[in-house]
Amino acid sequence: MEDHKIELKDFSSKEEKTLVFNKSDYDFQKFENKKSKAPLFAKCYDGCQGEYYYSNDVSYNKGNEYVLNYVSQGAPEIDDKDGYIIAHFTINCEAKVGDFGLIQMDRFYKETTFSTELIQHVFKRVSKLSDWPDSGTQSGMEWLPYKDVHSFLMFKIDNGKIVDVCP
Amino acid sequence: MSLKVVVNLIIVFLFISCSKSKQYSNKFSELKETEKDSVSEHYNQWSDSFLQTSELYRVYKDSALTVSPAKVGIRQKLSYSYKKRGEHIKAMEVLNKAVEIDLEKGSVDALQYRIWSLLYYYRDYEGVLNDIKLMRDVAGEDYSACWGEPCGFHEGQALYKLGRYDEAIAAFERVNREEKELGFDIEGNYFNYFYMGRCYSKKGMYQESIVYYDKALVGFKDSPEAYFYKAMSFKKLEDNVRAKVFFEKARIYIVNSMEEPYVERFDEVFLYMIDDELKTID
Repeated sequence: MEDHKIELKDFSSKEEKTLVFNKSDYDFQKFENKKSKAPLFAKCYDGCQGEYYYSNDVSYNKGNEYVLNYVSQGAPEIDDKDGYIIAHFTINCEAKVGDFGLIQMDRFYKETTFSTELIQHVFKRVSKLSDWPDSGTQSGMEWLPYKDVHSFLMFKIDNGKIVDVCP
Repeated sequence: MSLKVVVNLIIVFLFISCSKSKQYSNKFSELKETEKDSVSEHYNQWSDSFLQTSELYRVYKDSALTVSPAKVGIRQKLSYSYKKRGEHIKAMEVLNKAVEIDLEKGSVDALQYRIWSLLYYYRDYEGVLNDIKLMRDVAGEDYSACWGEPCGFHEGQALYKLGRYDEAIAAFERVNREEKELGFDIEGNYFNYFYMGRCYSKKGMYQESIVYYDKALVGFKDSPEAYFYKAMSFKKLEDNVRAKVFFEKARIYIVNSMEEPYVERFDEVFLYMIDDELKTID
């Protein structure tokens, strides 16, 4: 660490990376604005997460049709592509979602890309889904044998429109 | 030490590593088939001692496949690991390879699993119909099961979701006919009758749909889905009194809902749907 500069080692993947942050590169007002809008989310446990299908199925309480209607509402229709937008996320022990990931796949199950607008819309809506399984206690999913659950929703895209949700 | 020396040392190291790896792979190819099977099975069993979605599970499955690339079963199981973790590009790449190898051997086992996956995991209805055609071209028209359920039932569901209701009904009827010939008790074919009811509802033939929801209820007493869609048909027939009776039954028996592990079945009913409908007829 030097004046106006911080170096961090990132060991989160197989390749070690060095991240350098120079004070002069950042507009702090912009950062503060972004920070104030960022959703607050933390996993309840640092270790392994459960998967959505372990022991008790952790799927959205209102089912796929509800998710489809909710997420497709107001979706931009500027793409003319087919495929899947796969939104990965973690459901923490308070049944809140965050820690998002993305896979974009075409109808032949190969990598593709959809418009940023559509992706942003999907994630904005998914992050607002609030009816995840709850044990009925204040601590959310404490009935599960693990604290956090990794899950995903696959949005099937047909000619740029969200037409289905799986699995 | 100069940069040039360091670079040369790296090149020498890489050369030795590559030669060694080639030696190992050559050693595998020198093994007899029975020895390959044994080594491959050894890696496969190690793999199974790890969590199915973990990196180590995949590493050992990959090792087993390095020794015996044609082991379709191992390749198929490797695809589950990716699929359950939501890594679908890799899952389908691995599964497609398994299907390709299996078909070369004249077997349709992996293809039948892909049919199940395309229907429930990817809702790729055209893909299901293409694969069913391919399966019948290879294995014939006989009754067969795709991952625990009749392939014809999957065909019917795919046709239903594509809006080809008459063809879907014909596919469901074919399953019933074939199972009757095989000596099965077709009265218990809840899902078959339920989706036939759904087809008739979609066609606007509400009286006929009720007949099939009732048949479904013989196979699965107190199914909330059959009650709910039966109520919807009565509502369409403007018989709100009977509609209310069956919406309320659906509400009482909601704990019996389809709740399939891994995937959601088509037309599963959720509590909010029943409550929304009850509000409209109260």
